Amino acid sequence: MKTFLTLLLATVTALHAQTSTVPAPANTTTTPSQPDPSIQWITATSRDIPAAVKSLPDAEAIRILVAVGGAQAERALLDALPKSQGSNTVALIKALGDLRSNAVADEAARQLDSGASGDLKDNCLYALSRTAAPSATKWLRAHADTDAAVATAYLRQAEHLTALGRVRDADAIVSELLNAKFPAVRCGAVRCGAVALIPDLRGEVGRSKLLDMLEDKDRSVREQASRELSKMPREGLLGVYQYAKGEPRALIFAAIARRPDVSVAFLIPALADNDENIRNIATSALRNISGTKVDAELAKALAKPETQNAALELLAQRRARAQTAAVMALAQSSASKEAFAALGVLAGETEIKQLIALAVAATNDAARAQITKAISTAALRLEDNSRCVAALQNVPEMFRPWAMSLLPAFGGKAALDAAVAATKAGNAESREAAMRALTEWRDDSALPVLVSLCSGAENEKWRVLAARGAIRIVGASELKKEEKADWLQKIADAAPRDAEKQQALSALEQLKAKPEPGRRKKK
Amino acid sequence: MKTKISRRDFLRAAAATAAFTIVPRHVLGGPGFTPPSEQLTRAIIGCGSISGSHLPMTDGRLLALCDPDSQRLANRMQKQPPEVKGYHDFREILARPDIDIVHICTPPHWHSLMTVMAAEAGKDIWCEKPMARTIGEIIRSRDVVSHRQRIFRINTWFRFTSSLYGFGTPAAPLRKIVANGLLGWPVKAIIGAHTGFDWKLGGWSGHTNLEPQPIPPNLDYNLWLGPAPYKPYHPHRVHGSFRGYWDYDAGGLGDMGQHYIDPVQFILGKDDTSPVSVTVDTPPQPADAVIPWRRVELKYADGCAIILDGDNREKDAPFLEGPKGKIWPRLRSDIPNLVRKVADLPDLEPPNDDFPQCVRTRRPFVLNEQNASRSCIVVQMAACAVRLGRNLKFDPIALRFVGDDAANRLIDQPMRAPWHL
Repeated sequence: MKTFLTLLLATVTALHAQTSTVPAPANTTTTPSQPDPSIQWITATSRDIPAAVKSLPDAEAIRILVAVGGAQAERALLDALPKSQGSNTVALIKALGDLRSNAVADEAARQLDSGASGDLKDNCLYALSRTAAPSATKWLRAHADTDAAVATAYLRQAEHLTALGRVRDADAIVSELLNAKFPAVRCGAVRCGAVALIPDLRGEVGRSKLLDMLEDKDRSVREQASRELSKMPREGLLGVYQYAKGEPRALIFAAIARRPDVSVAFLIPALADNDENIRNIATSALRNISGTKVDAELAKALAKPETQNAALELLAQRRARAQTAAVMALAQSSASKEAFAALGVLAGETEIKQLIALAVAATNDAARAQITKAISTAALRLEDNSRCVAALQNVPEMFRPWAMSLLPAFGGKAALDAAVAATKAGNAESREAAMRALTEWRDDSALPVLVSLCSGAENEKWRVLAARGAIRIVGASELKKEEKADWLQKIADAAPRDAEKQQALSALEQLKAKPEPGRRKKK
Repeated sequence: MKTKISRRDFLRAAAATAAFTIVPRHVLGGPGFTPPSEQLTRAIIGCGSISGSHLPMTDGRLLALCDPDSQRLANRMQKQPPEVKGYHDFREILARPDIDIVHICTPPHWHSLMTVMAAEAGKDIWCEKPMARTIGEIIRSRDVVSHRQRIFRINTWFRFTSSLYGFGTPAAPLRKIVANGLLGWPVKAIIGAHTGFDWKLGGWSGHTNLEPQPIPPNLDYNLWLGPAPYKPYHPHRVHGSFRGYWDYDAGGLGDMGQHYIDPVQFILGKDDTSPVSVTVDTPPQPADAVIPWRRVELKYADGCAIILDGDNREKDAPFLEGPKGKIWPRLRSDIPNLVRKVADLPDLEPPNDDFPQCVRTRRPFVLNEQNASRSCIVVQMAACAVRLGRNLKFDPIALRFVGDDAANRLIDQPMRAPWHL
């Protein structure tokens, strides 16, 4: 009957809820519509407690009492408890747990001692875990060694006591939970939770316990201890790190590296550590510390062979432009592949011109290939590349084909003009290199030149190259559909052979057949 | 003294000593083969449509599926190998010691409860978005996951994958642009249809005229409701349309909010803080049903802002706007040579985005309980303001609303017994 009445009340409540809006608090100017019982808990005050008490153990009444809270609500829930049964008892004990009631501890313990199970047991443990009552602690301590659910509740009580500032009581629980005598604490989660409380409870004194936990059987516990160690003073950790070995050493290193005050001088030697984990942690930490001081220290690390490559990689990732000269000096003296890769990211106009000179002076193709890659990568970022293009134009004749091959990477008007001019000057090899550079252009600015070369180039081979290059550029461009169609038609008209005409017309057909995709608007 | 070792430690050690046993290749492992003993084991809780996207995780054996609707469970169980067992009650799954990872694919009113219970049971967690339904639940989930050293990921990915929803580029270059001051400071982000983000508000609206209906025999409605208040059954309250009701989610804001706001928090560098105010323009919300709102503006203490454009009024608005420049979808910008400038900016830390690998190495996933909690708090701040229909102030350290008791009650909503956090 009680269930039926509860259901009926809930039904009426819910139907009412569907037509009303959330009431504003009394101090706002909005006029609320009829208050809705199902959301009354949002705005209820202590004045609503007597009405709610009359409806106990109705779920909405409990909700209102929990939302309002305070001694009056707690008393009402406690008074209803002896008269309740079954799921109502569960709901009342749960509500008292929500209110962190100390007074419910004895009843919850009594229910548990009487063999409570299922939802009742779960909610009694919940209520005990949220009280500071000594009787709750006593009950949980007495049963935590055999029951994993009790061990979890015991940990929760330690967390609750910590939040209340009851340090000694909480610390006593943590000590017990970390003591291996508890077979129920087989789930590492409970020990992790206990470890997580140590810095708050013990401060610096907790360091030795955390260091012990670095050798726990459960990896999660070891990681948790490392995380908590990072809250300890750095000096003490540095001392321990010096003598640690194996995984604990890496975990202590991680704890130090996680600290906001970690020093660059500590991290840089670790780039050469034998332990890959430590090298990775050091790299990650150095990447994320801001400031030019780190860049300067990394530049110093270039002098040591064991840290050289890691430092180069970090300088590039950090875009440490101020250290480009140091990287260039290393590249010049060692021809290191990693140094040239870093220059690809760091080099500006000055360094690109130096790289061009270096390539010309290179004594083997492999070295020149590294330098070429660096120039190509760096060229993309130059806003004004005219002086670098001029440097390419001025290389000795034998290097002109190589220089022409770099022009597409530079792009822009200066490079395009240089390529066009080079198709008409110098030896045949240079002219063909310039021609090929035009066919590999990275935007549509080369299209007018290529279309004119389709019919006007000095030999058919070049005319064919021009047509094929133009078709490729149209396909890769972000031109409007109709602009692409115009260009393809022009290429088809100018192409020297049927094969290229056919290729252009085929691309035109395909273009007409498919809808235009989202296109980037030009500013 | 007898010492306890974890299942994974045992398996690692056992694998090392089993090298000379004659066993089939797929069991032994080796290049191209991962023996079952070294595979992570998984369970999926909730068999709605989203669970389909959780099924294909390649690195891990699925052992269990769970749903309080027997029909949906049966549908999902089809085509599963015999080792996959179906469950009605998720607590039975959490009690299985042989399961490493649980996927929480339920409606949001369950997310926090299941996250906390799974974490306390020693499971690692892959949870659907939003992370939780209230700010109090978010905080509890974050703390328990963190203090039990569990590996957690939320099922959104736009901060670290190749494309930021409809924006057309990844979030990483935007983060670089903002972090290096190319837009100046403070920065405003506008999230709406015109910047590539559909709020789906109409699709996720609730109804206010629901007549109670008989509960279908295949559905354990009481268990489906779980911690939510009891309301008479109607099919629109449950599968596929539950987001339209405040008891279970927050409409389109709940569905898409963390997808959209999480990358913005990342782009603005706000992973360790929250807004200080939320301003809303919404029609009065029904008590039970969520209906479309028009606009939400969230402001940070330093002047940065996130605008949620619900009625698509921001026709030509940029996605990001600062005193020095603006960025529209596909990195279109009024900043000259932006792409070249981005190439010159420092790299970001490579994201730790391999969840199984994170579980194995115990390293946090790129979108974990810490940063996901911050982005979900923004979502739920907006939801509170929309639901109450008024502007709110927020303390980003205490994580409470300032001077509004009703709003703070929405932070800590009592759960229906017997459920508790």
